[in-house]
Amino acid sequence: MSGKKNEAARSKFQVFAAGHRSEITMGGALVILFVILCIISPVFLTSRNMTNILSQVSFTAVLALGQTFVMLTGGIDLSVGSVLGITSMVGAMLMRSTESVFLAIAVTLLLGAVIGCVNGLLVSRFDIPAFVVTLGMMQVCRSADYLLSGGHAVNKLPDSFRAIAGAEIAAGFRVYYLVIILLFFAVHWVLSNTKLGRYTYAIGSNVEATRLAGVNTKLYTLLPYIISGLMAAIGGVLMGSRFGAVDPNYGNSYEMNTLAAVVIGGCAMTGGKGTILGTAIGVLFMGVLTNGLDITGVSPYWQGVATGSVLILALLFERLTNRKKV
Amino acid sequence: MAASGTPILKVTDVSKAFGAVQALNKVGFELLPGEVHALMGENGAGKSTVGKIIAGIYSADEGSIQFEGREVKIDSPAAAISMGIAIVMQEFNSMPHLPVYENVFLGHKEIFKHGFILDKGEAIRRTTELLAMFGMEEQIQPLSRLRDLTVAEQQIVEIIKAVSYESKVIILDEPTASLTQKEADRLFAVVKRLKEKGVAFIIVSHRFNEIFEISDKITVFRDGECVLKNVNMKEMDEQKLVRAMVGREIKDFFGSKVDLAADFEKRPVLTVEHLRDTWDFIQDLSFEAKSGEILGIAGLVGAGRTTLVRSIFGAEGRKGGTVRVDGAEVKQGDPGDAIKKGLALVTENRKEEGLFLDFSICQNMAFAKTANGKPYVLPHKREEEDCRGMIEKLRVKLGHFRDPAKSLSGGNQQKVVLAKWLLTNPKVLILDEPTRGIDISAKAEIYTILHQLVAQGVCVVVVSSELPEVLGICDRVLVMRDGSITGELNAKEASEEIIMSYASFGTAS
Repeated sequence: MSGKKNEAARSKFQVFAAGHRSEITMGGALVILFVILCIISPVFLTSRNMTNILSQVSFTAVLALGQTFVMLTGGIDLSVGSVLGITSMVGAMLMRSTESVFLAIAVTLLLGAVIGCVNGLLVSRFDIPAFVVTLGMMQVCRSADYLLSGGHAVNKLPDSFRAIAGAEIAAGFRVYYLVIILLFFAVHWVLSNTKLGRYTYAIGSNVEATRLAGVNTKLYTLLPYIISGLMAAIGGVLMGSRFGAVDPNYGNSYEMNTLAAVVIGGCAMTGGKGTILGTAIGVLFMGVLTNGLDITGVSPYWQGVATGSVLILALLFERLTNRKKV
Repeated sequence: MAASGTPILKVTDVSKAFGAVQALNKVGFELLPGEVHALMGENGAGKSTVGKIIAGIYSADEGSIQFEGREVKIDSPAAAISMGIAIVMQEFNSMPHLPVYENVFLGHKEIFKHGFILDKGEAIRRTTELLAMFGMEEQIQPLSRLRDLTVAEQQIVEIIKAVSYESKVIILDEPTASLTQKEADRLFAVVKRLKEKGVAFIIVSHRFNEIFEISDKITVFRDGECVLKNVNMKEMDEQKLVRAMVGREIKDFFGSKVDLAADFEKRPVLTVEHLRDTWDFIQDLSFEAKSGEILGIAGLVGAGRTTLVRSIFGAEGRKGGTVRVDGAEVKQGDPGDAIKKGLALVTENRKEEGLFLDFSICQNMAFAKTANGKPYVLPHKREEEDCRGMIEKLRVKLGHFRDPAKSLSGGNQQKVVLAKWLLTNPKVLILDEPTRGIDISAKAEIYTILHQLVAQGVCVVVVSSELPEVLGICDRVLVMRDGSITGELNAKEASEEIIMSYASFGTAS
């Protein structure tokens, strides 16, 4: 058949390229940005600065993993930053009162999953738009965070807890960076090789066709929110461990950084389109850009202009290149 | 006024590619004022693409378009409309929540006072006038919301919209696909009346009888090229047309029924008893379908055929009654259970309910089988083998099986949906309007596949509005009207007249 003939003519790379145009574009932009910063700043390409970037992006990265999952179904999770805040606060307070690090971490993760589950149930069972549900949840969680802590940070967390994020493989390269990187690979594998992954894309692409193929679409719309809540709680644990204290402002406005990174990575707001590779690129791009502005001495007041414009330009570029094809 | 004089529209050497697929290759034709010009060809032949280029929806890669003797560049639908070119498409382009009159007049600048306030009274008055022209003023109220109308009525509104622009050229892309014969006749009466006034029509259709009834000239496409150009309809006949479209003669269009008597007994596999749907439209309906038979379900649009098959499959809930496959009861409202028991449903809207347009062809085909299979980790290798097998078996025309489903033509997309369900190895395959908007050779291929399945003992249930199709492929026909079965016919005793009589009046004569 004609299929076989053309298969030979088109290499694997061409097929990959056709399906990953935004990843390739943004990957290219990341490389260019990287090279430019290497040239104009003597401190950019130092191991110290590189680990600095990793440290800066690590929390956004964890949240972005959950966010990608949710956005692939056509949803959105605005509560990730606040969930990070409330779960880390609850964990820290438990740690101080019970002295049990293990229990505190378990409760932290469980709480994240439960909040995600509430989000997911409201979206999947009651058809409330995800934007509204998670916007409400964002406010509730942040408020609960302040109420619980009375507005004060919880300090002096146990050394055993601090050791989780404190452990280093090499100078400045912490163990938990590696954990996050492995998490990226794991989520990528799940998305491309399991039913959960395929259904996630399928629901974002055509929920009715998914249902008619015998898939429990309500369940599989719910799961991404649980994963997102869990990721936010993991972010909370890592943040508390890294700084040895938990402030009620932890995670504030992280949902916006996360969304920006995920969207830059090629995730469609309407669902069904996006990859973990893209999200990784998006997170790194935003991290490198922010870091580049810092080390080249650009005023912090200008940084929003830069990152915001990049976000809009990235999507504008994608739309313009897409339009030509029609 | 007879069609004569200089062409109002001249399309010359237009080419267009979508990715690796060359949809059009240097095609062209001429349209005279007051002429009805048919564009025919199989699905994927490029006829719809030409219409969309003229209407400014797609832009051509090369070639030229002359309108009223001047070379023009039509780079947007708005540009086409302001020139006097309107299109009525297969997929509606309307706003379901707005009333009919707003749908019709939203694009009209002249009806807005001071440029932005809609003159409601005037819009309603003119909508009523237009509806009267179609004899539809009783059925469609200008103030009803579009979503409350039937698909056929919505189609009429789309056509009224095109007429309302006082266009010089109107493109009708499959205008009668969802219309009843009566509604189609009304449409053609309007076409004839506008034709007298010098309006030229381009009509894209798969229905031979209407093409011969209404057209003056014809241009035939095959694989993106013109095989016949501006031919006078008087010089054409059906045989010639089919030959031109497929490049060969299709013998035995509906395929041959395989004689099974020797191989196995026909036993009932699908048993529906006292079915009641969620809206009480169908209140008490029972029937049986046997292995090795093609059962047709005929009836007019709105008779409840789609609701029936959807509630059998569980796409919609049931309020009462039982559905059994091989004796095993199928849960209500649970497609997963239906699939497990051996049911499959090819729905009538492939884009809305069947396909994942951004998924690869392979992922689309494998979706249902994998979803209802054991392993939680996706069996990529098996999926690929299944997909290759299906591409071969169904003769799907594609670039690469990793290309997205949206890169395919309508007929090939339908084959992908069919493949998705065939891979689940159904005992009962239900198809709702399986050949709507599909070209004849894909149709013939699908009929052949259905006959093969039946020969293997599968039970096939076909819902169809095309009576020749029902008569051509089915062994037995059920006719529905207002949510009940009004007639059951053997293929031998059925005729279009008898079916229509059961469908319209509920009796044989």
